[in-house]
Amino acid sequence: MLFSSTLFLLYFLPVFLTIYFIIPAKAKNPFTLFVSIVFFAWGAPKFVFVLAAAVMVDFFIAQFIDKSEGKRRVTFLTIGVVFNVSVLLYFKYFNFFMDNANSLFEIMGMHAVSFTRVALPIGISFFVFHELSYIIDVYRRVKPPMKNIVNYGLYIFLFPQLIAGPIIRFSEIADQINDRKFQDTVDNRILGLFRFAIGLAKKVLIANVLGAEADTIFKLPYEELSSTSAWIGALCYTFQIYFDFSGYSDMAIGIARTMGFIFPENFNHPYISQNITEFWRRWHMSLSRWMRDYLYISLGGNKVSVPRMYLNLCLVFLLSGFWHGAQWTFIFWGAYHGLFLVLDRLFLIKLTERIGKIPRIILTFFITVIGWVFFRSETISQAFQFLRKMGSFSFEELFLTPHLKTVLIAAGSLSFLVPFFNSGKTMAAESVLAVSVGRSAMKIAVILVIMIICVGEISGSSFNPFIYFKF
Amino acid sequence: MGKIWKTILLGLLLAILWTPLLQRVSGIFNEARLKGAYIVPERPEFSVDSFLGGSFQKKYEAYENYSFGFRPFLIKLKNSLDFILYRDIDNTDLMAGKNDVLYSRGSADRTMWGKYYNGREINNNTLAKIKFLKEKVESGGGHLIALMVPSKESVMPEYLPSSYDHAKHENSDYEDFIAGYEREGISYIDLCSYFRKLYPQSKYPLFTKTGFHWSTYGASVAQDTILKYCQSLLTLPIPYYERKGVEFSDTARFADADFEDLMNLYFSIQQSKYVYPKLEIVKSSLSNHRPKVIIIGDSFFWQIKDLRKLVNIFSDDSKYWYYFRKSFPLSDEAGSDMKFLDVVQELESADFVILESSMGTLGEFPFGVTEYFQEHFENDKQMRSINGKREQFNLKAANGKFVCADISKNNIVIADREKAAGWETFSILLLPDNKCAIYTYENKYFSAELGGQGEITASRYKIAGWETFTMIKLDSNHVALRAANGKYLAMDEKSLRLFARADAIGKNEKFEFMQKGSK
Repeated sequence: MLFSSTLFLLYFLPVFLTIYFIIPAKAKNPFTLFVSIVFFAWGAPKFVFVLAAAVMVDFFIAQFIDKSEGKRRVTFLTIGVVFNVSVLLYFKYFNFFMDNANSLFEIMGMHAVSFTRVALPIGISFFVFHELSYIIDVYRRVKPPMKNIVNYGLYIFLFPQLIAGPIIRFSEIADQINDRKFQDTVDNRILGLFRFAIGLAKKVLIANVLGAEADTIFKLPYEELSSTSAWIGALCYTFQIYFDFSGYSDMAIGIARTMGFIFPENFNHPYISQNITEFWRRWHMSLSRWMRDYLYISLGGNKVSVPRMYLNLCLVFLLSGFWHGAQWTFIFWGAYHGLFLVLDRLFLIKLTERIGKIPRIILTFFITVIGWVFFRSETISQAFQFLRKMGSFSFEELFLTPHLKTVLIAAGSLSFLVPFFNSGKTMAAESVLAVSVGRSAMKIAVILVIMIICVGEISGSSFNPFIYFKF
Repeated sequence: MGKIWKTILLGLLLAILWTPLLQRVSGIFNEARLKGAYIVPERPEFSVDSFLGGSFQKKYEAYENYSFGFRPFLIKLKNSLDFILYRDIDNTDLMAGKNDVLYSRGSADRTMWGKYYNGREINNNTLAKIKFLKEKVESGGGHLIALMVPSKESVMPEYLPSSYDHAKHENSDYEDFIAGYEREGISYIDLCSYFRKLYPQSKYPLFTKTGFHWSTYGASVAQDTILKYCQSLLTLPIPYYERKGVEFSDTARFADADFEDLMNLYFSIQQSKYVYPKLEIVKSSLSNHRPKVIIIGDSFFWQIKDLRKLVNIFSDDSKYWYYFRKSFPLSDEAGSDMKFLDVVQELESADFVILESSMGTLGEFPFGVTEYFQEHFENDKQMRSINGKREQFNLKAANGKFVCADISKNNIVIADREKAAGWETFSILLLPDNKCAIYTYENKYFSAELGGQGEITASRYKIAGWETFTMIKLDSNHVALRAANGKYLAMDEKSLRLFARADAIGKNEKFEFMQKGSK
């Protein structure tokens, strides 16, 4: 179930929130776990059993890790890591590996191996990263394991973050799962719903509009693609992916907040980054932090030789790309970003020091846009063809609808201009201040207006009547 | 104190969020239905299999998306805002031109840019079939008249959006047909050129700002022309009417705001009054000869029918075959399915057969009637009713689902149905060289569109190369179908759609052939 579906907005959300607000504190976690399982089962009913089984296995592995020392402890950690990675490899990458192996067999003149394709369960990448975070944090003694399986199940199943993150490290949320009565306030409920509405607006009013245009352009045959349309397509996708993903994160953070959970931020105006290193500190921050804490540091972090550090960086970003999807385009995109991170450390940041802030932002944005072309394309060759068109500079007149023009300008302004007026002020910061009644009323009015417009937009976008009159 | 107020505000918000659900369950408020034709998804039946497979959830979400409380209010609000802010219309075919004059994008592309051009060969082939029908109608003492109806943009192109300012085209179906009628000696009325000439001097609008079709006034002008032409071909006088001025109205009648209706706005974009002619049958003329007319045409003819004068002028057994899909009497009575008619006999016995097409529907013209007539004319008389005496069958794909020609989704052919009903029933039309065509319930042929990566659609009214297939019998129950591109029809496992792109017969290229027997 998507947050931006009428079923969620008009049925699931009001029913869930009403019950959640009125039930006693003790019942909140079991109730939320139950609702989260229903939420997940609605989208992937078969996989809910696999997920539940994995949760059980990890729960006990973490207990064993906690009670063990020395080699035994490492053994249990290894079992846990191998188990979770295997789940991910099987469900997400099995088809990819088999397809590529078969292509290789065909090239070598051998027969392809027939296999049954594995269905990709939604949210598998986030689920596995949460499981890994749990057992590694327990292993590192950052946090003790959960004693209560309901609370542990809630960490994994908590529906706001289950499908698309943010990736919350166990250590960040363990205490909140056990006790969050000080955060379960009316202010947080209003601020949470406000944040949810902002995310909904980003997704429905901006990302969906740009996404429709990007889809049309990326589907165009090479001959019909002009330089202008290729640039428009790339820009539309660049803003679409940001507003879509950050909108979804806002919605997740917002719903969690209505429940008293304070999730870490996932985006911080990434398109004003002055280099790719900074971009990764602002883009999908929860993934970057996860990769840093559990992978990069495990590989030795910065405490290794310089060539080894560069190799580790490339490896982390290759895996980060692969994590996004079982396609060569994602791997290429990861490698592309890894390369720029290495170049940043080698000379790029120093080299661009003198050109000024705005040119640096433009340059970084340009590198990012090119990267998104690989991310969006079906194949690497399609991406290169697309880039060739972008680079041909054979501009033609293009008719953009007033709606698309407005949304593109809005997306650009929100990405580049708003951060300068809003520096350092985050939603989290607002929580420490008591929200006045007047501001609360204003926020509630905004929530209502956004909800009304967005639900109309969601339902209306699939409403395309025909004349067919009298027939 | 502040906390209490904030709690009240939050409670108020939650109460408002509950209202669509409460309205959905109780239906307390009487909501106006949205205008336009659309298919509301059916409420899916729950089963463990459909739930575990995810199909129930998908269908249920689609169903609820059309059913939640206050949906019409929200859709109209969204549409009104989109139009005010961006002149945006949430309809793929509808666009607002200068001064908010509404046009059909598909029709404008065809008329102005020459898009979707049939090609001369196909048009000549169609003309040959029309000529065949004309000869047979004439041999029975009747007359065949081709009627070319103007599209809005052909008469008033000056209000089209600026993206059409430099539109040009080399060929057009309209020009091919007019030249073809001249060449083949087929009687025709070119209302396109007539309306273009009339437009600058017409006292009242021939097209409304808010409609797709000609205005009711425009339809009355067209009716005058058609009746005068019919009378000129007869020796006996037919009943006639007189014009008694016009009536003005603030609200649209008939199809004068059919496009605006689709927009579902809270306001009207029409600024001037609508005009309605007052036509009165001359009673003394009612005793005159009332010839039989069969009109095969698109929706433009509805407005002429709505003037309610033809019913007095033509005989009671006259008919209007709407897209050759459904037959309507000239009175206000309900229509009937074409399969209940003896089409050949109806055409042979008519005094006038009028083949009407607007410029926008020339791609489908004449909607399969000439093919049907040609095919059935020399056949057994009992083989005449449409979809009647052919071998009817269902196809079941490798996933155990029935193949369906889904007109609600752009005529895609998809293997996703649990049960076989009309859209899942097909007929075979045998062609020379062991070829066949597959005919659907909606009187269209399967086509392997090479432009669409060999995707099979049930979209064509005519048989050309892409509409021919070779059926290969694999065993007593199973067949494979090879398209004109030499590839086998295969079910795509992901989308469940059919494509002609397999080189060999495997699991997905095998279809269970379930004969229904002749009807």
